[in-house]
Amino acid sequence: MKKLVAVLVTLAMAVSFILPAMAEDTIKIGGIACLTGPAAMYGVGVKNGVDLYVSELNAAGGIDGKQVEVLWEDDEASADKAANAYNKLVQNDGVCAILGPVVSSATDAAADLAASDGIPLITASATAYYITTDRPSVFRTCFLDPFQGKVMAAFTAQELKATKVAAMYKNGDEYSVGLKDAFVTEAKALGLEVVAEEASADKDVDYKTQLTNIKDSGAEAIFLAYYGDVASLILTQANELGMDVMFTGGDGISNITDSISDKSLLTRMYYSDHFTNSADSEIVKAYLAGYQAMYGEMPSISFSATAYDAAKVLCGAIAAAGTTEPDAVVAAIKASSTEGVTGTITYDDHNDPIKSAFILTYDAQGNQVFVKQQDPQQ
Amino acid sequence: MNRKFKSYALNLSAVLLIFLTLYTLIQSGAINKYYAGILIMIGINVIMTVSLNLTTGFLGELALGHAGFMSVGAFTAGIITKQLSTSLGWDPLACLPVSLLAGGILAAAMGFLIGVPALRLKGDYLAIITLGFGEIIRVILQNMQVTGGAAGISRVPRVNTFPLTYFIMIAVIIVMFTLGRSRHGRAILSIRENAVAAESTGISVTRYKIFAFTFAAFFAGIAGGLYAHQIGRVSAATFDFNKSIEYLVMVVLGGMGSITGSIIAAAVLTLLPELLRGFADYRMFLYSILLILMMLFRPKGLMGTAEFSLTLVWDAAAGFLRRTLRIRPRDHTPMLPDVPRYDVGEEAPVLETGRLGIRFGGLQAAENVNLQLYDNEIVGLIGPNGAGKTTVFNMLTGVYLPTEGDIRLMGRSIVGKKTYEIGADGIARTFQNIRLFKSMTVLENIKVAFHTRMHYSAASGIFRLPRYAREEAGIDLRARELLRVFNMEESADIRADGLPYGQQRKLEICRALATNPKVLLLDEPAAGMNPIETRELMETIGLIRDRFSVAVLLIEHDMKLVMGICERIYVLNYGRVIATGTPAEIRDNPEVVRAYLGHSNTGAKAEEGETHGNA
Repeated sequence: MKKLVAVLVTLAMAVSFILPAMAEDTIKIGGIACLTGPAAMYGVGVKNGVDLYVSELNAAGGIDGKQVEVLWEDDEASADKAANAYNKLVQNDGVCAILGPVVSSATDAAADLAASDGIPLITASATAYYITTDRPSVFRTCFLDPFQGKVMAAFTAQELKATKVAAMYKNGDEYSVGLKDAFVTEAKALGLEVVAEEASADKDVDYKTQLTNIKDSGAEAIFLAYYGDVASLILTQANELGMDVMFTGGDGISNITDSISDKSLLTRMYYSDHFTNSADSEIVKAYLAGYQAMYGEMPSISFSATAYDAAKVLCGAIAAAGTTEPDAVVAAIKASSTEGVTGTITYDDHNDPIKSAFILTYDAQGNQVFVKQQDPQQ
Repeated sequence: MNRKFKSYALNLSAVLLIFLTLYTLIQSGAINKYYAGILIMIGINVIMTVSLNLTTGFLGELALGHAGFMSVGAFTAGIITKQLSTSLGWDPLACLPVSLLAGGILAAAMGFLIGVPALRLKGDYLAIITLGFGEIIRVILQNMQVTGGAAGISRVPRVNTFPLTYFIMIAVIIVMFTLGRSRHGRAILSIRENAVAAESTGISVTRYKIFAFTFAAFFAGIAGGLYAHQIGRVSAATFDFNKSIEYLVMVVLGGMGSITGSIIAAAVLTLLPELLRGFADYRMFLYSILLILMMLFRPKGLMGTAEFSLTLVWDAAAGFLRRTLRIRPRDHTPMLPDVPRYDVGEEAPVLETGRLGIRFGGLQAAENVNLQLYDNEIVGLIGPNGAGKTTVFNMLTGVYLPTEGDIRLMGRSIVGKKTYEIGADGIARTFQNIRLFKSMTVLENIKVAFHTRMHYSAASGIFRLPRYAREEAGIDLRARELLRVFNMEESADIRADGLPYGQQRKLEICRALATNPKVLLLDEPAAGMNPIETRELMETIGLIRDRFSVAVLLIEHDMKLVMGICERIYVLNYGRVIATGTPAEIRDNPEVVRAYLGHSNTGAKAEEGETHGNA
């Protein structure tokens, strides 16, 4: 009986969702991002970047005279919601390609479906290595955790001239553990002494135990495999403990300015990122101006830029293929070379972008300062 | 039987019709992959909710770590299928039975582990243990190499299908129903209703708690396995505390103890977030509002503890088969309250204590207590409050371990045995404050007490094997027979707490007799009764002597009752027996008068006796 009710509800749902005839003059792209929940900041950042590019493209006439429409679905950063979102977009809304999802586990679930359907999917932010492995239709516009771990280990050794390093990470967090492992592996390979690896738990606010251990270990630089909110706590508490060390980190640090009160501490922070506000190119300036105009603020996370580029790669490929037919679009993405705001994007055999990382720091007022560009060959 | 056949036909055709409709729609593409995916998730969540209902609804223990068992099943099944299909080249579909079963078994092992602390804990404390256990599972999975650490496992072959999920779900639902109506299910329910009383009827509370936890975990493991093969990736972070709460909400919303309620709630709460996708930012808000509204208007959940009336497929199928094959013609020969006479010589006491005593720290609560109870005898145990009467009862039933002396039942010592073992050995009791299985019917109350006299296994109960049918039919007859003896047959199908006070007391005595005791301990049965009810009670106790072969030991302050029906009386004061003899002897014993009965010239006035006793 109750199953019958369920069926009726499902059927009613089906009828209400099946859209009238699909408009022929728009190209529909699906967007999946964590728009609610703890990771919403990143989801919204990605959505903003994509929407910015698409509105610019449509204003300039769209693709071959057709307007582009992005339909967004929330995945709450969960794998099963991402799978539902993917199925809804592809099955009900008839999108020809997917931008997103944002976090690696959700992206993995959606990417697996996209790969078996052959639907092109470009994520702007999933930095775990395995996302694109053996999935010909899955791409990304961010660099990978192993790459940034490598870059920061090299930077710590060569530029910061540290010999003893420590790493802090969040237990049970895929991004944090993956990034920490990449850094530690490379640091050891470069002959650095890793004197401490300190773990924290989800939602911790006190890091003084770990910091005290690190202080006793004599580390000169600490690698923070965290997002900006936690990194700001650690910087503040390390200062309270009177620690005289440098801090390094990955792309997650990029929103640290939002949460730290004493901006002068940021001069000790070095991190790798996909994008720098201070780049001198026209295209970056245009992006920042466009973002400012559309959202009334500067982008606070670099994933807005990689998302902007993801939209650009996808739309460029659709234009180049001259069709939304999945195989043709996938081939076009593979062959593409896109001048994006995060650098020139071309794809390697693993469907990862061949692009540079930017090493950034801050001045005492919290303004981003460009330090150096690290190319993938090095 | 006709009704059974009807419900069998109804249920089976409903199950098949729904399946065929959905399956055809999915195959033809009318239900696309999106909706099919949601339907499968509903199936998985139904399994989770129904199994959680076993611990939370039926056993009555709040379990906050159910998602942990699901993750164990998901990882186990996912890893096995992945390994078998990649390294051995098996067809992933062929791996499914192995991996799902392995997932279920490993999860059940975890459930067993968590059931062990239940030996000592209940209520809030047990809830916290389950919460901690769920988190431990998550943290361990997040840090093991084989489970992929924080990233979890990816690329599990997505070979789960709608028919597989649907039929596993149906199987789980059927098992829950059949289990619920077997002696094991009744035992679990009785623990929820009143663990102390359940123990006294010979049910091992610990064993059934572990049983329920293990069983629920097994199904959660299966659900986890289906999940892994549906989504294709498993990460431990998915199965956190929130996920457990999500399932708990489904159970509560559906109604604790209602399987059909769980099914509806799981379906609604899985659909709801998807239906609300169109509302974008307001989605979570609407979801919460709907939950609050539902709980406001249906505080006991959608179904309460009730079930839909379409009775069990398997039950009916078995009944139908029996009827058509004429396997067992129904046996209507009335059986009288089967209380076999034990071969005890009249001289040998049924129950005997020798120098029984107990000391709590510095307090000697009972000392040198020597009681003898003979078959078919009603013996009173009286004395002022605090004299140690209930303490003696508690020693006799294994609640307290005597510090000295011995208790022999039928010549064998029972000191050191657990309460439920003593209950099964033949000492039954009632309680000062009535302890019934309140929300169960009168008949079910009696049937619980037959537990130790039934022998079919859990498997017989679940699969409704002939042995189940035979014993259940027999027990039904005997239980009704017993009720008839006490003139309660018309009340058989009403809830125990719907009975008037005197009847509740009678039912409690009835239930105690149903365990087939050699000794029946009545703890102040007349407490709180009006004179009419007390008179009825006297008749009831008289009836016990006439119809049953049992020795009765009675604690009572109502002297009219005690003097009226007891053949012998022991008087207890400060933990010692100060007098023993016939009612007449006791009434005239100066020491007893001084210590308890008071100076009014007769103890026949119940109020007097009680007043002085309490002084």
